[in-house]
Amino acid sequence: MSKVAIVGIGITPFKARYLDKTYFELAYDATKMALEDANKNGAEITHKDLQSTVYGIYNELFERQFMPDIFVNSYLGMNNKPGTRVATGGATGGYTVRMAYAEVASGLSDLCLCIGLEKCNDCYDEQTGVTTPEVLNAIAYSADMTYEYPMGMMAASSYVSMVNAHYEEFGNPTEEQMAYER
Amino acid sequence: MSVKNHGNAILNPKAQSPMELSIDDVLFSRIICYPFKLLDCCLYSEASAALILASEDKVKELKIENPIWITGVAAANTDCFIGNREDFGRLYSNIFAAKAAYKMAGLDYNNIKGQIDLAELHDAFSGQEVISYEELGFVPFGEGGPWIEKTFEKSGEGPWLEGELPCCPSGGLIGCGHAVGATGIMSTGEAALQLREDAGKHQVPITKGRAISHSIGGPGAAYAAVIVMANEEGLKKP
Repeated sequence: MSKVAIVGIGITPFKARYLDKTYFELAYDATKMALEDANKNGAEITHKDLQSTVYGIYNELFERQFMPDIFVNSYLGMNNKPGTRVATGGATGGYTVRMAYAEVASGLSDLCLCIGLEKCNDCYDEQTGVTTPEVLNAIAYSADMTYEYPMGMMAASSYVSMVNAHYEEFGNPTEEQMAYER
Repeated sequence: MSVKNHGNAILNPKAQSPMELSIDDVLFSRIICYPFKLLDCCLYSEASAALILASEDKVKELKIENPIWITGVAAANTDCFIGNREDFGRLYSNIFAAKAAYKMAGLDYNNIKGQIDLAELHDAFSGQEVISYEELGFVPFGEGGPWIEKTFEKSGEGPWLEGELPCCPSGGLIGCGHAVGATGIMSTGEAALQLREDAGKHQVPITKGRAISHSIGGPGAAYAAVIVMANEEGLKKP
């Protein structure tokens, strides 16, 4: 297996809402930043040198778009090359890095773009004009819909079960420890 | 935890929720799902993060001066029917992913705290990061909460920015926001920037040349991934 290195890093600011950008424009910005970072010591890589892409996009319900990766692929100028999407809940980013690592370590690609994006507030209830209940539901659909969602399983409550059970066993984390001030 | 990560985010210009908070601000914020209050929860966010990964030959060909090598990658899925789990107070996927990633990188789970400079953890909810300290091997089981409490204002100890193992120097999800697909890539990119000593105001001291990033997903951590990275010096050190 080849050794694999991170040679370019591009991160857009994290914002509550980008009113002026689509999800593919956000992806374009991050890719451009990563290419500029990789080229800072004189290399001249462009999107044409990237042999494959691994996309980390969690939830179609956010972007109101099934297969959002294929639209990003076109927008980035990556047509006619392989692009694969990873979707593993909140761990999507980590799993995407793992698959991009495999892409390079295996020798399938020498240069691979590993890109994650999300634009959760594209998800809104058109009747009420608000986003939060829609976003929370879009996430809650990750829980088991047969037995657990009807009992109130959502993102926060699933982790509350863990934290409460841990507290019962060890007496921590207390509310203060979770809050802890400095 | 909440105060730590909101506070770290003040130094990160890309963060969504930089805040200087007191413990009472957190304790008296609106209850979302007891015991989590508003300030114990990350905010959902919009963002993108990209990494360019290169093979060793390509690194040489392009004369990349500061490559950050990925030395360990591992992931684990655990029972998503949460009611079936043996012990509710655990994030099982975390320990399996961590042990496999450390093993691949040649690191020792029992001494991991002494082998890495920082950890970018997945703190969608404050209590989750505290339990992760234990699952990832930073402290023994049951000592995550006391670790953050007892090291408060003790320089060189705990998960604080100036501590023995800074956790989420970027502010993590609570400080930066959680743009789900982008988050784990941002955490990995942030850890890589730290190892390059390019992180900016929230740069932590790099002596061992190694860092980890960590992602959790699904109800009750059904998925977990751990990435171990090293700079050129970190590759050589035992």
